[in-house]
Amino acid sequence: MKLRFQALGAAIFSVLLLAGCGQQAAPSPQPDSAGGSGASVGQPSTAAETRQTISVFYADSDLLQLQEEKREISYTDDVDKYKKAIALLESPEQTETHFPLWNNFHYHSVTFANGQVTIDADGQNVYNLGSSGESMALEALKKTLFQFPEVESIVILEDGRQVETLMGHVEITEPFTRE
Amino acid sequence: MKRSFCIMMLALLALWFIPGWASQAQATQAQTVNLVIGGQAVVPDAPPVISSGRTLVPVRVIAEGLGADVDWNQQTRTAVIRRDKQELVLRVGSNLAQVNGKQVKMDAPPLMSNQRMLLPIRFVSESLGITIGWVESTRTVVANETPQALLNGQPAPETIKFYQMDGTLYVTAQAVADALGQTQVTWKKPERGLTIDGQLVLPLERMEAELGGSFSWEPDEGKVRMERINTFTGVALDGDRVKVKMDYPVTPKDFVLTNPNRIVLDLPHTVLAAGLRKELSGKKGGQSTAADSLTRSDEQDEREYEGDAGDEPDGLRQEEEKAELVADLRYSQYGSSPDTVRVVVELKQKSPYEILYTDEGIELKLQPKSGYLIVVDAGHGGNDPGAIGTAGNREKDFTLAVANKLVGFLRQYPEFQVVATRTTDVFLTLAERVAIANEREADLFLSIHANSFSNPKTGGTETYYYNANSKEFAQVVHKHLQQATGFSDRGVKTAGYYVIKNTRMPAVLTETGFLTNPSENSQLTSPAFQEKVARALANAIREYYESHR
Repeated sequence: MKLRFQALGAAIFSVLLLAGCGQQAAPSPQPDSAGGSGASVGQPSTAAETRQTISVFYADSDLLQLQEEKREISYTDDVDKYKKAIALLESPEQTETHFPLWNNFHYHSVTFANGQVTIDADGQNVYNLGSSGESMALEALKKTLFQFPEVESIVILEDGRQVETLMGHVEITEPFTRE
Repeated sequence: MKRSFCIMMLALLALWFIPGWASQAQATQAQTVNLVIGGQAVVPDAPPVISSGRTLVPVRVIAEGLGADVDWNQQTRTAVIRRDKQELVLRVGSNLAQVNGKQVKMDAPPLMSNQRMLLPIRFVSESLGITIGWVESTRTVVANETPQALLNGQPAPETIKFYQMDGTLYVTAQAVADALGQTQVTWKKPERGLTIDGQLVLPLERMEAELGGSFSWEPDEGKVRMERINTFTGVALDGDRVKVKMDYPVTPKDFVLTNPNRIVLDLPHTVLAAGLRKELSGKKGGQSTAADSLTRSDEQDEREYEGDAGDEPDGLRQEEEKAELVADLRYSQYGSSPDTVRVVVELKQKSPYEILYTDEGIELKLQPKSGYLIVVDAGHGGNDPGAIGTAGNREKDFTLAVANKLVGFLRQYPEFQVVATRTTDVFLTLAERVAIANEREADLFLSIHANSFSNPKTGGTETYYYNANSKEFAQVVHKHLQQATGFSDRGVKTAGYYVIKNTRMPAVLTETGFLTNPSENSQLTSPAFQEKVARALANAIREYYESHR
């Protein structure tokens, strides 16, 4: 019976979607303007947006080590900043040597409160990574988000619920914290 | 039944939105839907339709059929629905409803669409004491009054639903079985039933043949009585099995206690057979032994043994010949509402077990540790396919193939006791896999996986461990595995994967090769290669065992 009510809730929600209330966000990789100018942090470019150069992490071709890229993003607030950073995890610039550890990563929401970033991942995501890949993917995500000093911990949920693991090897029931 | 509809109401058909059912709608055109209200087929002037993915049902028809009044206030966009003594007030756009004056929050608010008010059907019907269901096969909406139902003298749980069709009362069969404590049921004649809201519903009059007991319906009073009491007739040891004899194979609530080691089974909706009860009261009156019946500590639930749990119930203790494993078997009428019989199996050593269901009741198959215990874990399984290979093959099939072969090789050694976390395509959580090993106090744990990455050139074999006690085992395993695969050597590594971090014994996780590397994948999918890998792992385990004897 529980399933039924969830289906009910989801279906009602989807009716509201038809009515145009609320959005289910799916991030699209942000093509970046490789400006190349000096790495300035937090410069306002338009009235509402801040520009920043950040580090984004990918795998090497052998899936042995993480590789860093410096990329520029524009964002309106902290949550937007995290979303832009997460989106960049899917699209390295140096495609010959850098391989993305995240692909088609859909989520219901990204929120930030009390130093904790919470990503509510879509349960329909297919990750197709073994243990090494999962471990590196989570490392890449952690390094990318922990570069922002205000982020103290990261929680990953699936469809609003706490789950044991995303890809079947690493436990994510406890929030990630800086080491 | 007075009807009070304002004129606006007649013009506005308030439509009940029935989500979930609409997913069955195929065509873009409106499709007809049948209506059965209070057991009678109803053909209203404006029949229910499916339109743009929503099933629209004229509430007035259902309301009239079940004695409800609907008032609609156009200005405040509020609907007041009354039935029997229930009153429901709903407002468009507000997810706060009033049920008999009390405020209740709904998942979603009523909506206005094309001058029609869409109401959340389940909330409304449940608040008014109406049960609603959807019969997919005949595309029928079923609505009837919710009867008052008793199960063994207590109000039946709300998971049990009743539907009236053609003068027959149907009931959600599995929900009844579950409530009676029997989760394992093979229905004898499921074809006599229907599927409503995805569940099997059987005629109430069939339930006795299916489950035993007695089931009756008084339509005039709107009451349903369901009774089934399971009788426990005894418990006996037969080899490695404890046989619990009773009328029906109810599903016990089972847990273990320590100090001494015991397995406790609580049998729901079960009473002691009259003969056993008689022995009990006889014994009570006469000379009773010091350690009679369930002991005080058997009274515990899954908490630590505390030593003081109130009155000792009467019970009968069966003297057992000194078996190697079982020290004593005890039972008593432990609780009422529902009636519960508690059976205690006292052991001389800790022993994991499996519960089996038979025609005579249930059996506890005891699985104590009998040798050097190795747990073989085939990664992923069931709805978790693991990674996908270049040929569309799934990691879970690879891991199971190797694991099954490995178990076979290991079982050739009499000193080894081998337990597989899975032998078929089923899902287990990481915690379950670890529990299997920890609870059995296994000596070794080995988890089999295959790797995957977006670069098809990436390949190789690697072996992981985490705890210090696993390092040597990991090195031995990797040595043999690497030699068998011949892939590039990614070495022995450490990582905090759940299954190797939380196991208390030496544990490794092997990534045999990359499913996404075409040449490696063609090997990984080959049974001969899988056998070679399994043999290498068996040799590794043997070598480790020999060097640690």
